[in-house]
Amino acid sequence: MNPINRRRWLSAAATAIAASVVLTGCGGSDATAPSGSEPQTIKFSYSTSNPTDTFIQDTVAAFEKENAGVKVELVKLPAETQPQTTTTQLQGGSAADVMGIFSGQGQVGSMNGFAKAGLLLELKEPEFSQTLPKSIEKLYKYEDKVYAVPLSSMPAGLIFNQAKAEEVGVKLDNSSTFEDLLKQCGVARDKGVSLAALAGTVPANPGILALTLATSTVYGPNPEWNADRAAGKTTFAGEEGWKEALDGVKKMYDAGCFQDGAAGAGFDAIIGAVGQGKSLGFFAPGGAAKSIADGSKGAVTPVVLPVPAPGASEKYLGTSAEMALAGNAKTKSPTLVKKLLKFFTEKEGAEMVAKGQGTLPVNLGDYQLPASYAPIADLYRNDKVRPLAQTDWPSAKVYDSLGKGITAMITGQKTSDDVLKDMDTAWGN
Amino acid sequence: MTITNGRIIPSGTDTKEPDPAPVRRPSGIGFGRWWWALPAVTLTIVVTYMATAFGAFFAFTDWTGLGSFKFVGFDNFVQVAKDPALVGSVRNTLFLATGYVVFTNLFGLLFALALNRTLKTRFVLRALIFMPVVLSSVAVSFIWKFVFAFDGPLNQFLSAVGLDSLKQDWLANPSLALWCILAVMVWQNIGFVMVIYLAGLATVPVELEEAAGLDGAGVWQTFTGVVLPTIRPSVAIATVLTLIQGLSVFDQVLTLTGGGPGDATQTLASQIYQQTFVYGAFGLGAAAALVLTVFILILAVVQQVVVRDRSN
Repeated sequence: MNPINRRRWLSAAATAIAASVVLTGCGGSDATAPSGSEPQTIKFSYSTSNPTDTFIQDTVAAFEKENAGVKVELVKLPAETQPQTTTTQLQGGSAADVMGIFSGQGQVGSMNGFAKAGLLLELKEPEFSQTLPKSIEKLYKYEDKVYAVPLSSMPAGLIFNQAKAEEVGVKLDNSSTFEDLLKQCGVARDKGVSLAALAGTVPANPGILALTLATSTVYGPNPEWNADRAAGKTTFAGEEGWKEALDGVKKMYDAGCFQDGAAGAGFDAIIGAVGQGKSLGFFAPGGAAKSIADGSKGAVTPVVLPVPAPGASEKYLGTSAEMALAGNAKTKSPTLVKKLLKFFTEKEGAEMVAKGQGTLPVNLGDYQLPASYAPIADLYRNDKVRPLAQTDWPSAKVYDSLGKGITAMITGQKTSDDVLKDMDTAWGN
Repeated sequence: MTITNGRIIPSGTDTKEPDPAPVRRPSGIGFGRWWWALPAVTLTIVVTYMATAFGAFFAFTDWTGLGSFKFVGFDNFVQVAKDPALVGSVRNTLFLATGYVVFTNLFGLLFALALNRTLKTRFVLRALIFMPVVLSSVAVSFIWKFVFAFDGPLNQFLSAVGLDSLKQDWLANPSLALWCILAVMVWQNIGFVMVIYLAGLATVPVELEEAAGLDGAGVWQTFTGVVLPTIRPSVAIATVLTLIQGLSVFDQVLTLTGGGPGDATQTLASQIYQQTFVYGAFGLGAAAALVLTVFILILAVVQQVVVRDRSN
């Protein structure tokens, strides 16, 4: 390279470096960041099972209103891919400051995996641990440290179109026994409808049905059953309550409780069957009742019925507190992130979420249960409520084996014993 | 008379190729420098081969997609061989791939032969048969899911013609669901194979078929003695492509049955997705992916050997 060319090259390089320094300076500045303090603009990635829900936007807007100068940029992710997207973003270092994740362990996108990898912001302040209800505390702690806060509590049950049921002469309420349920399945069949729609190709749907039954037969009598299973004191195959729950699903199938073609149906079939009045209900978290009422503009107002326990078991209600919020360990605004998370756990924020989502705050307090939850109010009052078990299972494969196993049972491929053995294998010890 | 490279050469003709003219190197600007391909080659190596190598590397680890991992040797491969669901998925994959190769090629060839010449409406019919190929396989599968549904058009048709006894929960019947998936795969891709065979049939000299007819050869003899040997390259291409598509079937399985009922229709590709993205077992998923790659490689080589043109 001759001296003239070298000079030109050096001159071009110097210009480029100078330009990049200027541009970097521009990009890195934060208009809302007071000098010497952390940035006051943060990103929040989330998803909602019902795409029309706006409770996150509303709650965040209330937070911004309460905290002048703070900006929360919302990033809505598709619900189907949110766990994978969040995992990839966290691993790649591009995750938002606050994220919607799952509590507990086992699933892709659940808190324990992220916390173990050191990717979540530890919530050391006592108010975070103090506001966690005892029954779900361990789902939000990893090695005794809090890493996430619950978004809401979702009671799971039979989302039931009571008005339509009365029209066809089906009588089912919160006092009905399992035998009553089977009998009413026959009554519904005689009128050309099914008592419930089931999506057999979506493991989570038969899975939640089995879990609601097992909440009464297994977790009602022994809330620490998962801990016993982890300690090797019991197994799925060796637990009579589990067998009773799975056989209960088969009894429901044999009694014609589900629509024709249930084993090969997807969620679209549930929506179609319930929407057209061919089915009176379906098994899901309680928020679905609000989604249906909103979707039909109040024409259909389903209630959440507790699923009766098979056999001699007492009736318990399963609730899920798996939707959680957590902070990114790499956030540049840890104080602001914690402030936002705290807002979601406080009375105002938690109730905004519950009202918008059709769920309940994890700390119920004096919260007025919506009309759709009237049939389960007594169970809350009498402390007959247990967290749904799957968030505390070590692998997503266990729950998947349950859901798939139920479909395999009703299509004659497996027995309840086979399914329970598969679940033990999936558990891994 | 012999056929060489699709040309008819009468007996006694000197088949020796004429000596090529001496090649003159162009003066001035030289085209086709080797380094012109460097960016594309580098990109291919980085994006395809290095990514594949990294994937293969994780097959020997217990990585969950997060944080650190440790080497587990061949444990993941042992698990692939031992897990009944994974073994079942290998069986299903081979069933679908075999059925897909056989039926798409059979029907594709039949349609190509039927629509090759003579028929006046052949251009319209070709377009109609090819049309499903351009549609998204996911969209096609959703439509077929609706057709196969218990209260869907297929069962309604059976009822309408008095065949109520044949009404089925097609996608929930463990012994029928796999056949339903195969039917959808074949239906959508017959047109694709037909086009390959039509291209092959265009190279078959009409005179040769006429000569065979004059020599007293029937339709079948003309097909096996004249047409099939000439379109052998098309057979090789069509079977290799359909084999690869069949072995890596995913969209149709996930959309139609989700691998169910139970695990009755799981394939290796759907298991790879499930292990990796649903269960977070990246190591096991990578091991299953490696097994699938080796399957495709071995079967493609075997198939190439079977259908290769031995005349050269």
